[in-house]
Amino acid sequence: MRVKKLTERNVGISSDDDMIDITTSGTMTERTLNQRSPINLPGSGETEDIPGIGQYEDFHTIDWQRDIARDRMRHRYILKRKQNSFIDLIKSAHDAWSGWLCVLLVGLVTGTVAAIIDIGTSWMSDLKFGICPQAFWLNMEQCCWSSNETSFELDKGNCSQWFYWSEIMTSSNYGPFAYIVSYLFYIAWALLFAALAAGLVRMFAPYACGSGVPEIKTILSGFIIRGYLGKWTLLIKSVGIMMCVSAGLSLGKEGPMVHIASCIGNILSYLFPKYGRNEAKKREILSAAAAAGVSVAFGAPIGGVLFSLEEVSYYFPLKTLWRSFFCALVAAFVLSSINPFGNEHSVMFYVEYHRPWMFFELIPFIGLGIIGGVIATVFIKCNIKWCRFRKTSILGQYPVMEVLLLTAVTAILSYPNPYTRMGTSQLIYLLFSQCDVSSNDGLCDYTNDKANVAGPGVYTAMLLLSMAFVLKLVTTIFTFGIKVPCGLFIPSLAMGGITGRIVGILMQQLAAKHPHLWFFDNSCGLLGQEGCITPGLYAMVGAAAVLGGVTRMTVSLVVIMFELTGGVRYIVPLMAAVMASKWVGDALGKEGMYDAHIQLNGYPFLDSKEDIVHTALAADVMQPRRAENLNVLTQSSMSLEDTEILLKETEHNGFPVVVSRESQYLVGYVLRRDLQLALENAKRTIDGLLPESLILFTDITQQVMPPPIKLKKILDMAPITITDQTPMETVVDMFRKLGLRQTLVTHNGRLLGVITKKDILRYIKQVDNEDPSSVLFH
Amino acid sequence: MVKIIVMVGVLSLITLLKAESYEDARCKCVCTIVNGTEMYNKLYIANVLPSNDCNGVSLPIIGEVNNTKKELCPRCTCTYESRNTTTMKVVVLIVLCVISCLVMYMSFLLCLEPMMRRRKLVGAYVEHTNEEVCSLLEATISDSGSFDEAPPAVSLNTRRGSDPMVSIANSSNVLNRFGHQQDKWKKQVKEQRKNIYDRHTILN
Repeated sequence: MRVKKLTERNVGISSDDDMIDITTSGTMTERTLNQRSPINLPGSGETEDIPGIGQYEDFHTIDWQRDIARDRMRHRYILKRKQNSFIDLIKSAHDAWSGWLCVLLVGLVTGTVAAIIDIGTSWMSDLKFGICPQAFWLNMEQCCWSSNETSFELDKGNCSQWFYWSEIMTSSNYGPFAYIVSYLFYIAWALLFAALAAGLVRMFAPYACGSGVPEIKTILSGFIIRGYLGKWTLLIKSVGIMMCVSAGLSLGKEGPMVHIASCIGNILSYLFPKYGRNEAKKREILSAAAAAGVSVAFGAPIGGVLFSLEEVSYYFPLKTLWRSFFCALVAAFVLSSINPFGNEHSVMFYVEYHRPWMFFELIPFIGLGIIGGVIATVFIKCNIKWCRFRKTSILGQYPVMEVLLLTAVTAILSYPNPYTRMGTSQLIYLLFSQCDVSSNDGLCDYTNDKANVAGPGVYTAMLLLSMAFVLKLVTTIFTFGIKVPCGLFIPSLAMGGITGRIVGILMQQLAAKHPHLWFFDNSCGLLGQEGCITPGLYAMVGAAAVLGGVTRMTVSLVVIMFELTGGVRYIVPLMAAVMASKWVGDALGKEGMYDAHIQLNGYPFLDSKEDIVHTALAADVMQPRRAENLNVLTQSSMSLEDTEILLKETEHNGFPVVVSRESQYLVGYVLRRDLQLALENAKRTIDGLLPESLILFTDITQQVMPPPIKLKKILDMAPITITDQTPMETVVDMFRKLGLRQTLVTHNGRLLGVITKKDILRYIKQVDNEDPSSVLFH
Repeated sequence: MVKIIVMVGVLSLITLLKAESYEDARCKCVCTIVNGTEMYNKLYIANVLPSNDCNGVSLPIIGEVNNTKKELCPRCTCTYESRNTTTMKVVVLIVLCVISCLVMYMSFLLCLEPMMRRRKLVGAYVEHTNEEVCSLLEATISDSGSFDEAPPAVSLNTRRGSDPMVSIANSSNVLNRFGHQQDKWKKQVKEQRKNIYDRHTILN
């Protein structure tokens, strides 16, 4: 059975070579493919007979089976010719390593682009506050980097080289007038950046808007969105995300980084025809690129690979796993050797902890997980409601105005609160980090030298942080989905970080006031020992919990978080919190943010996580319901005219070919697009073609007049067939695991109907009591 | 035009690279100072040569005890840090160049081009018919480029060469082709815009 051989998403038992070994046993498919080999050899150097065969139309689903079979053919052809000459040997060697070469290039470019985005973003964000006139290309921190005037770590921009706008305009940095000038400059810069980003997106690449992860997920599951991973999208998304983050909107650049990396993967795959011309193979490169994207976004290569495996990829054989690993490694290496933040790490909020945690602390950690799940559910529900409103109402007609309005509101509300005024990554860094000797923030205003009894500064900071939390939650609900590049990792981390830090400080105060409570197990309050509770760790756990609730990631999230902190010690707290958050999230709302957006847009994504419990049969779902209405081609009796009428009158994406209308015995399946292209081609090349010319899907030797059109080579003679009594669970499983585009339903060997992926998606919607007409794509 | 922009960019880059740069290495010392009964922390930064172990850093720590200036004995921990200002400079300049190019192109497309188009309308007739003849084939060729906007240049070339109608207009071939590509790209962007802003089918 072929079902066994081709792997599903994460059962990576077969690399391509394995598949070849197994499938040379000469099944029906293989023989057919051998017969139709002439057109399916892109690597052979000859031009294909008909241009465009084997490609797909926009917004259509790809046929994994067909593409993988095509690649196998090509591979076998190269292997066969390997012995012929030295050049062929080199060609085959090049073919063998081109996958690795391609991911190497993707890694290099992704790392570089990420570094450019990081540096550009931090520079432009600080442009809102002031400028470094002697070296305008330095941001606030770097401007004062070598100055001896800074006395505290987070006290940036307090040196004589850095000039706030108020200093330039009013020559003083204090007083109400200076404050107003700074406020106005902040808003003006934010509006300028947002307007530029929205304008560029609208003008050059509308596909660059949004986070991109739901779409990448859909594309990797086998969907075509033409132009979504193109050059312009890459350029505009990179520039746009810098400006959006700098505009102070409540969004992050980590999700878009996945999209950017996938664009790079797609563009570079065209250097290698093996990947560029085969949609199924191209998705292997895209999976690796997605891993590189997360790897550079968080400086977490392993987390990136797991993210690709757990969250975005659909078809993930072991070979792709290794390539993703390599790609993520290269990207992370390039990024950290460029050192964009000047802190020897590839993320801004890298922190390092060493303190141990107590067993008792698991309870507050799980509590944080529960809170995180609740916050995430509220966030997802509200955001989806708002996005649906935007989609259906008049608001959707003013995308640029919406961005500007939202930026203005965010900027006006953010500036007064120092925790929202600073960049969100910086806020996360502040929340995650421990108080040490060089920090002077209100959060570290402890009254004793052991730094565990809070002073008034800590309580003020907690109040400000709660306000910041509310602001972040509300603005992010409205922000995610506006028509500029925007990701939700950073806002989720910030929301969770704030919650966690507050809980952490409360715990710390409890330990400081009552150090001898039984559950502290005598580890607090000993003489000469530092405080036993680390609020920064709570912030990190809280951040992981909210992000886990929003995205429903588990393994990859924990790995990303511990790669951020460089400590293996905190895996158990993180796991507990993430698990609790996922349970709570799953109980309160069905799906994560990305799946909810896939649903909202009605993308043809067959989720392999859900089970179907329903007792329908294939015969109940197949189209058409009555066998007489089935549109078929016959193998040797239809004329050109008949076929063209059929093409004009129907909109099906493919037609079954039968022996004759009376017998309905199945011969094969032909795609509409291929048929159209072949007919166009025949009209140009064959002389004396008449409307009565026959269309032949059979082998023919004798001459007939008028000259027939021989189309055997575009016919797929091994379509997947099932019988009408097959239960739908099995059918859905076949679609998921084999990546089918359609399957033919037969009864006693006679063709009854077709089930396409669209029918499957409609069926699933129906079972879930949702509107089946929301499935728009093929 | 593009060449001039690139030239200007490169020239300004070179001149800026020669400008004086900030230090690229430092020792960051966190010192605990005991001043009588009081204890406080202070951060000191010393500029050093690259790859330094921060051992020979002299810190200007002067405190006042009982109104007499006297050097205190601080406990300091120093860490060596390095950065690369040249990278930052180059990156920021590239970003600025890209943004200004995009903004210029955007304003060109928004303001100047509609005027030029109106003037050129008469001369475009021949090319237009030509475009329709091979539109279907063109579509298939460009589709083989899959996600990418531009069709592979080679296939376009060979096909164009065999097309007699185009070889007549050989003189302005390059310009034509550029304009042709631009038109196609614009059509695609228009389609994307329709999908997102009008029909709201994807990316909501």
